[in-house]
Amino acid sequence: MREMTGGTEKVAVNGANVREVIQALESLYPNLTGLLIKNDQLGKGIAVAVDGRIVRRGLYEPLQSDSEIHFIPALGAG
Amino acid sequence: MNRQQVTATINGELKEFLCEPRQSLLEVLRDELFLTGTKEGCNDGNCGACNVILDGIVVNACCIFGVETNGGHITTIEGLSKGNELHPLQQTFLEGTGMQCGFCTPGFLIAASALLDENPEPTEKEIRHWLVGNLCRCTGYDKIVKSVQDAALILRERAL
Amino acid sequence: MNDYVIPEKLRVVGTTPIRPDGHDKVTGRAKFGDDFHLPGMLHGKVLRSPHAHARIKSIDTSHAAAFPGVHAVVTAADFPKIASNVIDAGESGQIDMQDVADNCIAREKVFYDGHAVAAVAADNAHIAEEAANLIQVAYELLDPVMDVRSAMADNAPVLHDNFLPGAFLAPTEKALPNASKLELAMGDVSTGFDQADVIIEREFTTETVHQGYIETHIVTAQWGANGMVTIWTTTQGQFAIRDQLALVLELPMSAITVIPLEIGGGFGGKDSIYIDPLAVVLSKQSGRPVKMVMNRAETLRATGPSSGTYIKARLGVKTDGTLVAAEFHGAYEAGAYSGGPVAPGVSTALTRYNIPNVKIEGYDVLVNKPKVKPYRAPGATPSNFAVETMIDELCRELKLDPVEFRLRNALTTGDRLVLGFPCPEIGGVEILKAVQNHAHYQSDIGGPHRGRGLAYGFWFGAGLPSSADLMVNSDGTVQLCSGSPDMSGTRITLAMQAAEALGIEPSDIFPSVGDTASVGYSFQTVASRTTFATGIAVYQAAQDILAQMAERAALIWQIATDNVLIDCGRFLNKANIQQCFTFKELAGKLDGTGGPIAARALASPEGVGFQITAHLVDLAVDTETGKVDILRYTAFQDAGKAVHPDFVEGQIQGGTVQGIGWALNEEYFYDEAGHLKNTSLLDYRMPTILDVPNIEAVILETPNPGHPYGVRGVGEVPIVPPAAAIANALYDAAGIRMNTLPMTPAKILDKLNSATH
Repeated sequence: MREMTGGTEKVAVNGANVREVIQALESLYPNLTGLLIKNDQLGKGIAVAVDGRIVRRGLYEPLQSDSEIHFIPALGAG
Repeated sequence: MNRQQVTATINGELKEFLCEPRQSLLEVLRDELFLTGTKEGCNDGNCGACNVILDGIVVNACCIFGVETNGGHITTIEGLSKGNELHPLQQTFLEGTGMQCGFCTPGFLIAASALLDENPEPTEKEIRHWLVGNLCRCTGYDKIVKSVQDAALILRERAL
Repeated sequence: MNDYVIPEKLRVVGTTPIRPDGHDKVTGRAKFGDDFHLPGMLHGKVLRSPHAHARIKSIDTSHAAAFPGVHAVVTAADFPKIASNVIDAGESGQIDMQDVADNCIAREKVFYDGHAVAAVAADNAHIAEEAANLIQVAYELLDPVMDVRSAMADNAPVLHDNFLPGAFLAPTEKALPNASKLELAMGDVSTGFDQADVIIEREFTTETVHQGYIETHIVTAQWGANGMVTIWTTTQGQFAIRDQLALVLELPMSAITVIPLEIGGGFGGKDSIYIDPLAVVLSKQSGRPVKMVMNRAETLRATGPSSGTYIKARLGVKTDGTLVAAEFHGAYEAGAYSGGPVAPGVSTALTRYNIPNVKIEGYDVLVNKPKVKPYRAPGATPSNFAVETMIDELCRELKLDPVEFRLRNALTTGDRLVLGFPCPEIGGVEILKAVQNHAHYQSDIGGPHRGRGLAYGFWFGAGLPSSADLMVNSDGTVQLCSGSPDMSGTRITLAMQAAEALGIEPSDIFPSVGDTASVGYSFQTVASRTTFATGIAVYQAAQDILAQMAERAALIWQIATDNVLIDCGRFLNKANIQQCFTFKELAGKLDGTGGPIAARALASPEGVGFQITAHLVDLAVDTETGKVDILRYTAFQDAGKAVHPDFVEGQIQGGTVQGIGWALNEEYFYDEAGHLKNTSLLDYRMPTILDVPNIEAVILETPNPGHPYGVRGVGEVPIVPPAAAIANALYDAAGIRMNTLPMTPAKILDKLNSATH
């Protein structure tokens, strides 16, 4: 699995879904879980893109090996 | 506040109503007579959403008092069509997508109908000058101008 | 993966039928927010703060309550104090409900001129207003801060001791007393700038502007005897209104029904509550329905405008025109409460170009102005103004053609966005080539003091949840009910998609907009999402209808359902194609084969297409007055697939003219004490029909495979490039570089005069 944090770095971790990926990242980035997970859900204001598509199942979104994940600000519009 | 009795011809019908001196014609049409086709956009004469025709002239109903219309003749958007027969402007606004949200549309239709009554063959510039008092925020005005031009054509063809 | 195979030929999509709601709109019958009446209805009016920043010491409502004709008076004391609670909303992604509640009626402090402090319900609006003016409020005045740089300076007046940062991935501590910060980066800018042959750095300021919808905000609320609340209102999102009310009033969501009336413009500004909770509580206290109308002055003073900004940007480029590095620093007004459009504003600043090294910093800044709300591609117009004018400058310095420069650097399908992930299907290159080939680009500009300018713009799209119900009538007509309020013609674009999918005519489909009690949850009509996302819900519901009808045909013919062929509104027996029903015929047989058929789909589509556009403008500037005349305007935009081309053109033309207003005239004027001085449409000067020429819309189509017909959203990006295009044309016409918006005649004259001295 590969993942980009805030668009600045690339990290490779293992995980079958988004939650497992965040847990795996915890050891590298201790603050990340608190930032991304609130009330056992993906924090409001944060969206997840998997292989270029903004997905809807949050922490439960299943991943393939070689999935590319990005955490991005949830962007709104008018 | 004491209400006064006013008698005016509205869309061809003689109507009697009561209103306070402080009520605008716009308020009277909408809240006393329930003719809600005429809209409030600014209440100070700057948007044209409340255009009606009073004694042959396009006015902002928000800038006229209800009591001033005693004995007058008023045409509102409800009086533009004849029964179920739409005025050509209404038809062209429909077909030419001259509206998006539709809120400014009654004001534009009233104002444009007065233009075509006076000038059956307006140039684009004349159309834009005449309608400068009507604000639209949705369309960018392009299709409004085209709808007016198309309606003018229909009216000219009918007159032949 | 959800990629659709888009049919080669479409039968209904791409045509221009008349919208079914149009007749009521041209005859004045359509019911907008203020056209709704209930027997026994009272009218509510709000007392608003005359101060931009103050602490509320006391409120005495006794004189108002005693005024003849008054039935109820409320202040913040009549509303529950709710805990800080962040929810998803239409704008920057998340809002703190405590802020929303306080914005509706001030609790301890007022934060802007016009902030609601109390409300009165009376027999009519005149009495309510008179009575409201009798409410006595004691204020302790505080210093206001009215622009982003002052708010970020040392010793600036502080609005909130605590606030949640706006909607972005950021550390939870704020960066400054009045601001939180967002950072995005790609590559390494210092290496990047080292590789540049030319570097420019420029600063820009833009003023606060308002969406300017012609219909203001109106709500009618009825508190039922059993504690059930009904709301009739003009809104972009009936479910958002319901959910926000539930949180603010601490009611279950099921206790509130929000019925959307026709909406007279929104553009992002009608996606959340303002007077709604006030109307509800006034209704509860008085025992009568209450209607509340915000007039134009109130709408300008107290509803979310779009951010004024301060931007500093730096671009590095090689002599052949390759962009190698970019730094973008943008401070965007959040208004009185945090959560403005800084995230989308900075994310779209450079997104349409491939730049390997990027550093972006955005600030969400509290100022004593109304809380900002989305305005058609929120945040993007100011950032586009900055970047596209700098690119114009670079093109001139390097003597490169503006289209060629953009082609060299254009983001295409698969390229990395600054957010990190690859760009889905997009037709940016096609648009730039269309510009080159267009008669406008190739024509002679003519005249003295005339100039031509180009700008290139980008905006995201959105999926998000939508629901659609389809019900088949026994005469073969179909009811379509969706949860998406219709701001500008989506009823017909949804009906067209249903007709395409079902194989019938749009005139056989009656589309309506449901209320929160009768249709599944739908996100607001925002983000250019409705024709796309609700369209997908419609498409999916249609597939369900077809499957159910095929089962009925199979039953009638005594064959397996697999052997029913569905072909454009007809059902055929594969083994014997003489056996055939039209949709209408089969609809007539539903009752006898098991009963009526209906289908519902709730979709949260992922395959979102982004928006991209280029605008080309010719203008003339009067060097004595500074007045700009737009002579010719061509907008090129990728619609994916234009479902109803006339409506797509309309979106392009409408957004463009709003952008022209933003560019040349529109701004909020505040005095030093923070009072809004231009509270009427005379002085908040939006474009009239005389200010603009015909806008030619050139629609290109690079289909979005995330939608069954290739649709991508179109509504927002048109407002993004006009300011930059006009600024670039102004340089071409008169040799002046504008770095502020709006570019009023006075400012243009100033630049012209200082240029000659």
